[in-house]
Amino acid sequence: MGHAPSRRRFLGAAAAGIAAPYFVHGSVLGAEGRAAPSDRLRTGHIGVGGQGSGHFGACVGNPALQVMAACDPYESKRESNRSKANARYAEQIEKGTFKGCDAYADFRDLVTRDDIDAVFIASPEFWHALHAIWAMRYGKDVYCEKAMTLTLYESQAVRDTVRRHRRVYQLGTQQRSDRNFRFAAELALNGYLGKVHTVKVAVPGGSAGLPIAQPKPAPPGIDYEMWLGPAPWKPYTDTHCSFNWYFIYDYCIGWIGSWGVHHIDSALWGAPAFHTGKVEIEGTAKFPEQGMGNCSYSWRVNLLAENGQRMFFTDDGGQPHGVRFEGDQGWVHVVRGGIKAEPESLLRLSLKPADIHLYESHSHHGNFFDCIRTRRDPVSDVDAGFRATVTTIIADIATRVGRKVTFDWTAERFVNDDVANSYLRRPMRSPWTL
Amino acid sequence: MKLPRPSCPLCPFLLLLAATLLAAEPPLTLDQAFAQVPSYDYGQPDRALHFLELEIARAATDAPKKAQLAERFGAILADAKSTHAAKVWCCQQLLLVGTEAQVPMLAKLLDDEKLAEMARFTLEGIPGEASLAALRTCLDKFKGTPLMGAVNSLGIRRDAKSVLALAKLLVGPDPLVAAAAAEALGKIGNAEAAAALAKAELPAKQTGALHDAQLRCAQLLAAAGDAANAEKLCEQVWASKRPVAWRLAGLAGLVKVSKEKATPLVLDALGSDDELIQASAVQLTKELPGEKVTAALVQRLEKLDPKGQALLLNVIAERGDRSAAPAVAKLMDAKDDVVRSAAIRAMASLGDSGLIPRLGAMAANEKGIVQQAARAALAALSARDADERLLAAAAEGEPAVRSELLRAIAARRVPNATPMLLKAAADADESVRRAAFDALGVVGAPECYPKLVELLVAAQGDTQAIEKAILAVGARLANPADRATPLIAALKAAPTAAKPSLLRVLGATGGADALAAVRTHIMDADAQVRDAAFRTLTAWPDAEPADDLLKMAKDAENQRYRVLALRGYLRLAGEVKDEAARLKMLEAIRPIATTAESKKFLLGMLGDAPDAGALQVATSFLDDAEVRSEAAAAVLRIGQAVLASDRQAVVAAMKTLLEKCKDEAVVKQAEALHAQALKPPQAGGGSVPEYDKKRSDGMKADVAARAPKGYKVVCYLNCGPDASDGEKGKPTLRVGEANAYRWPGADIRHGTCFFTSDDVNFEATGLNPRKSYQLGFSWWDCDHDTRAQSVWAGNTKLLEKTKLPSGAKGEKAVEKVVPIPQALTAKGSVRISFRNEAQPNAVVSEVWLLESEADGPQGEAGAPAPAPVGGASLPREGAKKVLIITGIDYPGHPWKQTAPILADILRKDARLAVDVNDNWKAALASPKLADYSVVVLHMMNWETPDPPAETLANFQKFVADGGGLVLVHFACGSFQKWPEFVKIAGRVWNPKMRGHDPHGKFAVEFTEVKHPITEGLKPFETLDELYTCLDGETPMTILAKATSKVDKKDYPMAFVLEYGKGKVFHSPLGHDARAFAAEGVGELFRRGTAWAAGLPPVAK
Repeated sequence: MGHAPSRRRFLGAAAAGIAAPYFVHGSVLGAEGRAAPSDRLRTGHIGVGGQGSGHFGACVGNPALQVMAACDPYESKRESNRSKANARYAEQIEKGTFKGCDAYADFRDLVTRDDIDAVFIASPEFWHALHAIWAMRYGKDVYCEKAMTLTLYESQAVRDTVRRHRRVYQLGTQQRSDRNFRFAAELALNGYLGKVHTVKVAVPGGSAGLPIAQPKPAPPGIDYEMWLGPAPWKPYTDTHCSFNWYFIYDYCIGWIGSWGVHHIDSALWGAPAFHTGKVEIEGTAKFPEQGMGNCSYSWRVNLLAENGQRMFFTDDGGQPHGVRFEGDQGWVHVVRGGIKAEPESLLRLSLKPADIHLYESHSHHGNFFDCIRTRRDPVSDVDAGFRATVTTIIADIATRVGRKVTFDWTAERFVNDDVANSYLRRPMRSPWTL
Repeated sequence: MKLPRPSCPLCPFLLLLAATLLAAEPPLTLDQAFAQVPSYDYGQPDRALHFLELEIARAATDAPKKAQLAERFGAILADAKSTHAAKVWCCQQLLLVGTEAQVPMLAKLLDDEKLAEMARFTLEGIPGEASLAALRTCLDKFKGTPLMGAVNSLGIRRDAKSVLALAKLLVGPDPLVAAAAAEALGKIGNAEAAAALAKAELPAKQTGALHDAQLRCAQLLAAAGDAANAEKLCEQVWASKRPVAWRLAGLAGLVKVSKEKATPLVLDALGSDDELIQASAVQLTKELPGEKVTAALVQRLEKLDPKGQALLLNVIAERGDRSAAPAVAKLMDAKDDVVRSAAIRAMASLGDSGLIPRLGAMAANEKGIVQQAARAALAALSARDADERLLAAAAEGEPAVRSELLRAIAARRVPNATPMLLKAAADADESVRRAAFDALGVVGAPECYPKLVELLVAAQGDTQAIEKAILAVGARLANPADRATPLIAALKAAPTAAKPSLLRVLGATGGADALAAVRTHIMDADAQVRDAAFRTLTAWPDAEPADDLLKMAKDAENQRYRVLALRGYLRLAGEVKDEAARLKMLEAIRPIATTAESKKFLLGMLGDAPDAGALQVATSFLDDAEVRSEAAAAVLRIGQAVLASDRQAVVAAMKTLLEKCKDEAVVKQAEALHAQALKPPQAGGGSVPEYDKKRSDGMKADVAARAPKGYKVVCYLNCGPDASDGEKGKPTLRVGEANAYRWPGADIRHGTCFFTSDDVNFEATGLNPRKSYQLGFSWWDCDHDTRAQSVWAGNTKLLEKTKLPSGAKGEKAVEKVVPIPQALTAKGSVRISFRNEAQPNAVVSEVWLLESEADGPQGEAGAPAPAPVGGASLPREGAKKVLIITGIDYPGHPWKQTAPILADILRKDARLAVDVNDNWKAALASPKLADYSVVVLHMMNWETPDPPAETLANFQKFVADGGGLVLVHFACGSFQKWPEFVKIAGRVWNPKMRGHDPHGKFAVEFTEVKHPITEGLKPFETLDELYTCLDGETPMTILAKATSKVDKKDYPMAFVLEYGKGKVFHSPLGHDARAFAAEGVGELFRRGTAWAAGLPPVAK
């Protein structure tokens, strides 16, 4: 495990402290127009469904990387991605410089390999913690899709593992590499909106319900044990295993978390009071009355920070989609692909040197690879990921207990509410643990 | 128990109670819900469970209430009659409300093989000694995976009492159990646990747990105050041979426990050959603060390799410890540029203002990353008197250096710099003046605006920098009106030489007053002034002077000005966003171009502002004999320029050009450009234009014009730019997680899309349960010929797997409308997805939601059938029913592709209502065959026995009784063992004859032109297999033929006959999709089918 001592790598601009996208110095590129095999960063991919295939494909297409393996409990998914990679690497395979991309059903076979440097994780959320922690224990750096984990306890475990093992961990909250979201947060932090009194966050709500699915034997081609992992056992159905897991509480808290984490992360970037000290939360939500889906699909959650700032967090039936900072001298509203402000001149503003300048990243993947070389924290580091994920988790819990609760960010627990606290950790099915 | 709905969603202070959707069924009570649980099973209705999951969280507000609820779950668990599923679910709920009272019952369940796992699971979540005791018993009871579960639980609970037992398991025979034990010991983390772990060894696939556990122990020991053992453990880890990552974690752990012990190790590691160790060590120094360490780092710095130096310099800079400054400053002259830059940047936080001259010199004289670093350092220099010193240093010295310092003043936003900058703005050296004006543009106080105007008036030579500065400072004036006023005043009094620049600035400032002032100078005595005024008008920031320019294009005194005015007008037109308004402006020019010369100028000018509108205007000149060749040249030139952004417009323009212009050279170019415009764009696409409401509204209006009767478009998304549409409280359509993409060179409407590898989905919300809805969409496989997708609403399929039109083959995007079952939309929201059923992914170009105007259920019958735009039309009332029978053929005949194509071709005749049935055996045997007017046989039972006699008899009766029959391609090979078939089909396949010509192009000619089917038809060329294998002697009338390239003989391509009362039309054309592409083929089949149905082949 670890890196072969003979590997050459050129740090280039990353070492000089310039925020440049990842690149490999020209002299290292071999005859194939790619870095020589020993100089490429080697990646493994756990979870190659919809989102994971995207990361997989991007890495296969990146001449500075070598994709070593795909892992997924669905045979079709891992095989189709493996073929994609091997088609791209055909020349190397023929020459004998690369033995070919592998495919696994069990992620433990992937993370224990000596010849993988970084792991991309795009499995369902209830697996994120296990996949990430296993990978990091075996010396891999991790890029993990959002939300960080299913429960607060798991997020703590991930955070502790990142710090204990000194790994580079990037959460897939890619809005942090989007200039508009950074700029909106900078406007809020540097007083250009005056005193920011309100933050409004709205994201899509998700499915309003799933059918009552019929149990049946798991089809060949899916390793159901590996799919189910730590979640409580229930028989296979065609409904819950792809995409719909988003709406089932055993696997995900719903889009209040899965989508919410993006905009909440951007909101916290510009309003750090919401992850400091004690925060009061109250909220309501609509839940499906029956069927496999039991996560909320519409919610209204109000948060009150110690400094008096308020946050209204809803699905986008309740407020316009996006993140909005409102101050007594102006507001800014940002979504993917657009930013508006009042007064409009705010959009043309450039920060002063003495202002707070947030971490600048222009590419979420590129930033991850840069940091692997320099061992710095990437832009969506584990602490930021923890705060954003936990904020959505406690918002969801508030809607479930239906009463005002207070969350203490120092103790990382609710104040005086046993039932709310019992949501923070879920036991895992044997043999899984964190 | 009815719960109130929240009233104002944004009222922060309201204590909002939970609101569940009011369902058709009455709300449950707690008792009713609990009563339903024991009989629950997977796949059964589960309202009670949903209700309870939320209710117990809300009801358990104090210990007694919690205990009551827990008891109820416990009772269900203990009851033998409860289903397994119910018991498992109860175990999960006990995690929320369970107490010690439930422990005995759960402990008993540990002996129940089926429930042991869940019981263990629940015990883990119930705090207190009783549950721990129960868990401990598992260590003896369980084996294998359940044992691991128990070990895990004890670890989570940090049960010190289990350490001994766990230590035994750590050295036991099962490595998986041993790994779990290691993990648990790591979480418990006391001295005994640490001791057990220190001696342990595990196989490679379990070392992760062991190594992590050892690190955890160190952490926990240190936290508990046992620094000595913690240190020992960390040092052991660091001293191990491998793996490197774990060793470094040990070192990091040591840094936390004892900075003293760790420091020398970290410092040594800085010089490591292993890059991971070196880079990690550099980062670790951040946790070793203090001057001593800084000194040690500085010492090491010089000895490191350049890579290490660069990394270390960054970290030293972050320490901010100025004692490092001398050593770092030395490296500002290092050989390696990367190191130099890092050192220079580091000096920004370490150096004092004395560095300013040196940094200035580097910024002026160096290149590349070193120059960038010097500039960055000047901009970031943290010394408190840096601003002051900068102002002073910039006031004198070498011009190149002064320019850099002035630049830094701007970057730093130095306050109160205006006086000094104004002085520098009057400096003898031009580069200094220029830098000063640039800086004034950034930091100049608004009050200096009039002074800048003065300077502009007085300036000699190049005034660009001043003009820019004036505009920048002007933008900062609180009152926009104040911008123009000093300029207008200055203009009145200024010497002639200064007027042009003043006019330019006025032009960029804009506004009515400025425009008036500029206008008066159009007739100025001085030519240069007139010229400047003129040019200013042509470069005006808004379209106000459009009419002036139009007039000038006609009336200006000399041709140059007329040309300039025209150019300016065209530029303004080019900036108008609204396509219709822009076109209007372009057409307004046409009348003023009355002479051949002016027309030629116009055409030339259009080429300078190329867009679809310019293309259109240029094309319109093709009819003008005077300037046809110039027009052709312009069309080609503009077409080339527009190719990247609007291929459709270019295709249309080239078509027109080819019609109107016969010049050989032009035709050649036009054909080439036409071909290029049809070709799919190459790689490099992606960036999607920003959302533009006006543009999207225009597209929405366009699809609305084609909405089915009784429906209106309520939401519209141009996929790519538009993520959501709709207002609160009304229907809203929004995309789920999908990627936006634009194919390079494709238009914004169909050439932008959402894509994902599996399915592109949208949420439609806010739907009115009283209305019914349809889904409209357009899709396009722009760059492939392989995409096929199905469309779903929730879990209901709305559209079967359908192949998308291929841009690679020159096909255009296709629109479809499908009804959404009201049962799905009545809930208020539904998820629409477009699922990838082929390769490479799912795409959709536009999506819209249609809402019925009337209330009430409309159901499938009320909604019109889906109709592709530009393709088949809707069948009329009284249409003749046609059944295409397919589902089997020779493997080389893609019936799955061609059957739908043929169906669409036939549907173009609105008198035909076409069904496709791919269950050929059932269809042929079915009595329902009689419901149809025509059967189209689009099949051949390849390597499959003929159907039973009754089936064939049914089919035969259909035709004999008057049913029409159409045979396509290899249908002539069906039922080879049925002698009667040749009498029905006219001719059948004879395997002993030569099958067909090699696949290729051939001409189909009509031998019988008086027949209703062929009357008026012209010969056509097609790409197909020329069949030469038809045999038989049944009397028939040949309508069309083709000549074989192989034996030069003629073979029939279409013929008709009668069988009983039935009419038969038979054509061996139609091998694959391409064979149906020629318009003549479709026309022939359409007429033949209509004729067989008893209709006149062509509608009156």
